[in-house]
Amino acid sequence: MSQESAPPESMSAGLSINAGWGIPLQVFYCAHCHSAHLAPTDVTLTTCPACLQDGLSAQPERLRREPPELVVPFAVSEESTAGFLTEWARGVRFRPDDLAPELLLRRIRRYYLPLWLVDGDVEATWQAEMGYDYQAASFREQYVGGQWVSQEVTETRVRWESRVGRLKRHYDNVAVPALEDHDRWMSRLGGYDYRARKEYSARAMAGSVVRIPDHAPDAAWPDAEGAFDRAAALECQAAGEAHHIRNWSMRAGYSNLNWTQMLAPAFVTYYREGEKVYPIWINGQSGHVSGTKRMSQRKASVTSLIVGAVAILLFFVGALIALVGAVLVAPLAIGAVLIGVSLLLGLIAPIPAMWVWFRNRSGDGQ
Amino acid sequence: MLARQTYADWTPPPGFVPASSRVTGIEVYAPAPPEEAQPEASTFRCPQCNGIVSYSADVQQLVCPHCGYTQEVGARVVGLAADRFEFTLEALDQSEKGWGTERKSIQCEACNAVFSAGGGELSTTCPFCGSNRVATRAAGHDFIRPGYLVPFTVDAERCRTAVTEWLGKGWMHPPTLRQVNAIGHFTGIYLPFWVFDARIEAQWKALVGHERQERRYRNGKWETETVIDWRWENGRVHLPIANMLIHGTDKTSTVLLERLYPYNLNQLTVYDAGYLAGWQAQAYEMQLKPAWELGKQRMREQAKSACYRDVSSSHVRNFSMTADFSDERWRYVLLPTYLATYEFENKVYHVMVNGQTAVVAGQKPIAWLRVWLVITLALAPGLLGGLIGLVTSLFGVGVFVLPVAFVLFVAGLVVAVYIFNRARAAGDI
Repeated sequence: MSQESAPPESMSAGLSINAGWGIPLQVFYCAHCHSAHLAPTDVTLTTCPACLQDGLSAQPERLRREPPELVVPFAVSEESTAGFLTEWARGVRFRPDDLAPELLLRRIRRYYLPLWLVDGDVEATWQAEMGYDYQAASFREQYVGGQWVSQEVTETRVRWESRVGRLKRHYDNVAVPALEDHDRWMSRLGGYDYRARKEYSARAMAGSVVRIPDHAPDAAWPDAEGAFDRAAALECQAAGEAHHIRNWSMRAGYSNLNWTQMLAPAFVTYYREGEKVYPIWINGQSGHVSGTKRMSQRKASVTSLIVGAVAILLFFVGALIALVGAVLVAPLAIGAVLIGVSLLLGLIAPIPAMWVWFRNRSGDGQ
Repeated sequence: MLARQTYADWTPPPGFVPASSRVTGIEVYAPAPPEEAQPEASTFRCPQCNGIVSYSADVQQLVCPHCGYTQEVGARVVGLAADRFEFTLEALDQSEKGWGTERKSIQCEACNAVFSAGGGELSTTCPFCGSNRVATRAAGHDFIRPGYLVPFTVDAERCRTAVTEWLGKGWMHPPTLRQVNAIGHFTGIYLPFWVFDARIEAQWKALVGHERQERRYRNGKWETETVIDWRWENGRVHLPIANMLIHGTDKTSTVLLERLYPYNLNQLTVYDAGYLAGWQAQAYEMQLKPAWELGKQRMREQAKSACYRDVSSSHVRNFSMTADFSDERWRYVLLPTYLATYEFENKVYHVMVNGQTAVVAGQKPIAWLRVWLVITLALAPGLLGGLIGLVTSLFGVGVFVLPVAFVLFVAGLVVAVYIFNRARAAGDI
């Protein structure tokens, strides 16, 4: 495969960010996760939206100064995320006090993730196996009560046929990851329907933070090539009027490549449990929520202590009654029962604390 | 620029032809479809003497009877690797149609049989009823072209020997039958057959009885009696069925045709018009669907028998089963058969010979006088013994003779019924 025109230089000097994006912006850099963010100057940004660590510093950053071409708009409002968060946090036992929807909502921040959009001309030769559905009859015979009953079952089967050809097409806005950890973000957020994208306007940036790409076009080119490949495969399948395609391969040359950006919406919030901060991510388009569901170790330990205390109390009461029972039979039996119950509670008491400790340690509850 | 040159210089691989594309800028090439068999109107003339050549079952080549020129037909023997088709309308539509050579469809006015004949045979003796009153009609175009055939390997002379030998066999038939010389002409004809394959997964359920011996004290003594314990059982049988033949003509006797089986389908050869040169061939009259219905009925009965064999006892009640068919496939083939008729005592009889194995099946007159004589002989000892027993019983000896006579009579009756049924079945073919 060849790429006739190399991806453009990722940094375009000369153009002011503010002029291009239509809103005064400031660049922040996180020393912990090495991510860079753009935020309107009226947004106070102290915590990194990517790693939720403090210590963001405003500093100049080399970046493309032209604004994004397209934006996938927020389809979920900040207020309506409360419902998604409540649903997500439901069923968390020993829920940390900080994992309350109203607190999460107070910390929520609109966040845009970048993707590259690549336009280009493709000339290629290709080959594939194309599958065509067809109907075939199969049969089922039943013998009941001395009679045969026939049943014809129509099955859809696939006939695979070889196809070859060549392709000369222009593709617009092929979406390509612009972050090194794009896949991780997408698995957290559940993916986007890019068909809803709209042209960028400065209004979209109000109160939002934008992640600056850390995957330069040079590095993203293999992904772009794969995206072109997939787009071409779909088009060739449509050209051949096939229902399925497999064993696809393409030898392509690319020209007139143009790289722009697209932004995908998300919300970021967090809660604290102990000394640590746990992030929660919400897809700004679908409302899909993900994050670590921690249980409160403190609450679990208190529960264990209370049960343990009750056990000890019952033990002493039981022992006292048993001493009295040295004279009378009935109190002796009551005392024995109480001691038995106390021993049982004593065994149960550490379970909440241990269970939460193991679950939190194993990271279960995601 | 390399890729652009590749694009510009690219040519489709051999055997690929342009196919329609629904997207501008995308060219699609597909494998060229198999060449449509155009009627070639080949007349199989000898390149040496321009005489008419025909396929010889003896040398299994095209032979010119005038100058002795021979030519291989050259089609591949594919055997059971011959293509099989699924039960799709699309597959039926895609099947090539026509015969690929100039042949005439001939309809017999007497029995309405439709058969295909070589170019020279505008009228001929009907191989089914022996009638000479035949008329031609236009060849039909609604026939699936046969993909494969088993060529003739038995020539007319060997056929005649086999039939003469067959006529002379059997005491039930008139002894003069072996002198019959009325079979003047054996018509070699390729008959249409559907070949079906399928896999059957059968599940059965039944009340199965298991015998056990039980001793009981009854009327002051111990008795042993057999008791059957009934319990529900079920099972599963996998039954692959391959190469089930269903003939595609309804103008021949199914009983006779099935007596010609088996055909060795390992000799299936790719259809080539050369094999039909000088022979007749009949197109199918029974369409694929009714033929498959028939095949399916036989398959499910086989599955039922297999399920019964799977039952661990001979006592079965409330038997039910389901047979799930899968991988159902069909082939349409031509198989070689000789048809002939002969006259005996002013009556016409049909004979068929397997053109591959020389197995003979046919109708033979029954010498009923002989049959009744044998039946009488079978019954005679019993009847005679009974008579003697009755007479001697007057002197007190008959009490020993009568039981023996009764046994002989019953045995004779069984033999007589068997012989009568065999003779009637042979006569009913």
